[in-house]
Amino acid sequence: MSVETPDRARALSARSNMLLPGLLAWVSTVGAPAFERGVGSGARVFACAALVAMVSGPFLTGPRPWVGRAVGIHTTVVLCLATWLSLGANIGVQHLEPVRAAIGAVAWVLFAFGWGATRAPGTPEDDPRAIPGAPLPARSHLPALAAPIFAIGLLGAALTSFAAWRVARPSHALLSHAAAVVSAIALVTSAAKIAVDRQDYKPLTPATLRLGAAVRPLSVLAIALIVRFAWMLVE
Amino acid sequence: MVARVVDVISVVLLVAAAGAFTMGVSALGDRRDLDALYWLAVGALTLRSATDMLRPKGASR
Repeated sequence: MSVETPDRARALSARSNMLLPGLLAWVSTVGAPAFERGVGSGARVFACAALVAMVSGPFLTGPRPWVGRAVGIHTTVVLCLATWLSLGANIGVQHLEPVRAAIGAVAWVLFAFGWGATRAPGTPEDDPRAIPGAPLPARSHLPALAAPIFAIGLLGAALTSFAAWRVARPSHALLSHAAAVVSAIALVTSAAKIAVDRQDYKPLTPATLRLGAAVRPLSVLAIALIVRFAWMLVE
Repeated sequence: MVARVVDVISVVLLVAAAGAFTMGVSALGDRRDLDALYWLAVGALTLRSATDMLRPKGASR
């Protein structure tokens, strides 16, 4: 097996990660509405151009990655936006098919992740291009249970996002999605803070001081829960 | 020991916030707008409480 084979396999895998979710997102949210009956040719031209940009982007990432990103991400997104604007009322909330839209939303998220880069598996020092020397030890480690706590945040974010798709009223559907996105961001951000900023990781602070810091929101929360309980009794 | 309990409370509040947000968005789907606002506000307060416990004002960093 030649030395270049793993590199080629890696490049093919990276391109698949960019292309497959992108194609699914394009089919479900751009192609399907653009090629319905009664849609003007302008929207179809934009949709086809978006597809061409999306497919060609990953193949332009070789020597100049910024060209690939400009075509594969920015041009694609701009052309998709132009398609949606050209479609006008044809993609109104009342015409929305929830399952297809949900698949499209997830596919767009995966498309964004596909363009991201992760560290290649294996030990970095084992790479033949690595500068020889003693391995650099990590300065600190994540506290225990950091991953499960972050997973709780991710699960909560996913639950709120899925709950938003249950809203059938067109006037409230957009509001519910906005609320779900804000909630999901807040949950993931806070889960990350709680996962790594806990007592066993950061400098020690007295527990009373930590509880005292949360007294104000906790008091308002307690009042809200009491009001709710009282309201339930009245009802 | 007390510090560990505060950590647990913080995680429990995170779970409660996730539940409150989900209930809030679900309430919108069930046409209970007032409930939705209530649960979203409770979720925000719960989350704020959970993170405030991690960053006490005046603590040495």
